[in-house]
Amino acid sequence: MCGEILYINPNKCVACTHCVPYCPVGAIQIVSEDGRNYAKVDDDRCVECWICYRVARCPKDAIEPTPPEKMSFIRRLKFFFASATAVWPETGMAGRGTEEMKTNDVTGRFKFGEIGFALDMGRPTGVGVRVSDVEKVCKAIAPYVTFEPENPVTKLLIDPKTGEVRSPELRNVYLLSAVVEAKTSKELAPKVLEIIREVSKELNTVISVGLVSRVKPDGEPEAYEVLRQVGIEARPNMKINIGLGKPFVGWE
Amino acid sequence: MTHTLHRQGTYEELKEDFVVLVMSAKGFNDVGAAPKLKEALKIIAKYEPVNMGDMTQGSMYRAGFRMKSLERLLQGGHDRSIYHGVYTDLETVKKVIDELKAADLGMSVVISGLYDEVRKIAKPHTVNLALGIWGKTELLPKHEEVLKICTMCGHQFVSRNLVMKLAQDVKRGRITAEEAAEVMAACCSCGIFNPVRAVKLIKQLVQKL
Repeated sequence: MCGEILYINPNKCVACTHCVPYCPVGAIQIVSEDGRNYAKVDDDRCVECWICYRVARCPKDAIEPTPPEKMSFIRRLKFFFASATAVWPETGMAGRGTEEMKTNDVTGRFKFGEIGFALDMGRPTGVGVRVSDVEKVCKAIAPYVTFEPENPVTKLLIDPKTGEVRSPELRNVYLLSAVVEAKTSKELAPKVLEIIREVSKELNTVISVGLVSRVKPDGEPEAYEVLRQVGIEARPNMKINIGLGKPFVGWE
Repeated sequence: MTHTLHRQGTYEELKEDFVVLVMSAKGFNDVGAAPKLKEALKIIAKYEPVNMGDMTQGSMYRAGFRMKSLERLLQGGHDRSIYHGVYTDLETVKKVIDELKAADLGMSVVISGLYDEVRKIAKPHTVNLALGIWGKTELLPKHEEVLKICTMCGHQFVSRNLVMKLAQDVKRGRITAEEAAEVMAACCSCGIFNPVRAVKLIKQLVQKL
């Protein structure tokens, strides 16, 4: 273990390159120093996903991650935004977002007349995202949406009404991905989509865009009305809650 | 947490790619949910998914986990487990859903897949639509097969460089496409990667190298 980051021990590494392709963000490179070669992690680029450690399984045990409790705040941020299974201390949820629509049959988080946004920034294929780009999107849509309070990105905002992040030092942090979750009314949703479309042109990353809505009795998702207004077509595959959860007494 | 939403592929390809997910709702029905979720996992496993897992524990492809994976996933299950199963045809998904309905567990069930197909077997309540990839799309891989493979792990743990390296290994005869798919599936920590579909895509990619 070295400091507070995932580290490849140069005294153990034999530069076999086995771990290099496993890194989703290309943060591992073979370098030459003092006449020998070894794998080195780019600290800025590394997102603390530990795929190199967990899956590649170094034949020399040279990969040495640091447990999250011993990491600095910035490294821990990277770790939680990269982990699918670690449980966020603040939200109690595993993964980078929340339950969003997956339990909507029980929670009633999204009602008829409401449209949700699930903006997977930095996804897919390890493009990754700087917090500054996340902030750009949050600031652009903040006047028109309510951010999901339990979402990890919302926890980074100093004020969800402005979309500004808590501290300037966060802006340069590079994450594997960050999911912005918010909702608004069906009437405002076309405007928000237009804003996202515009701001996405200024980003140095990609966004996988998701739109949440209830399904009408005729089987049409309510969000289709929004999409027709802005001339956007949804892909044929989606995530479908089929309503087998018992509704929580008090909302349905 | 939209890890199953943005799977890329043609309509025909996606007809072989469905993810079924069962979970409790935090603060609503999670206390005491573990036995119901485990019952759901048994139903998922009964219909021989090509992959399965728990968001909080890992997939059946996790190193050292493959043998007796059902027993291990059940043993480690808890009130907040999120169990998944991946299937390659709608007919099997229908059997799983019919049995989950009959079990009346009260847990939320989500199917990730083609809407027009899923509507044939279940009544949608709420959806999350995929509107595609926006922004600097020139940063995406140039081979569509790489994109299709990588998006089967929405958490981005299947690296594009690894896909290309394994495809090269297949081309050189060092490993089979099936072995390559298994390595990729091991990267996907929660168990939503479809290794059967991956084999077909790897073979297509190899043709282009």
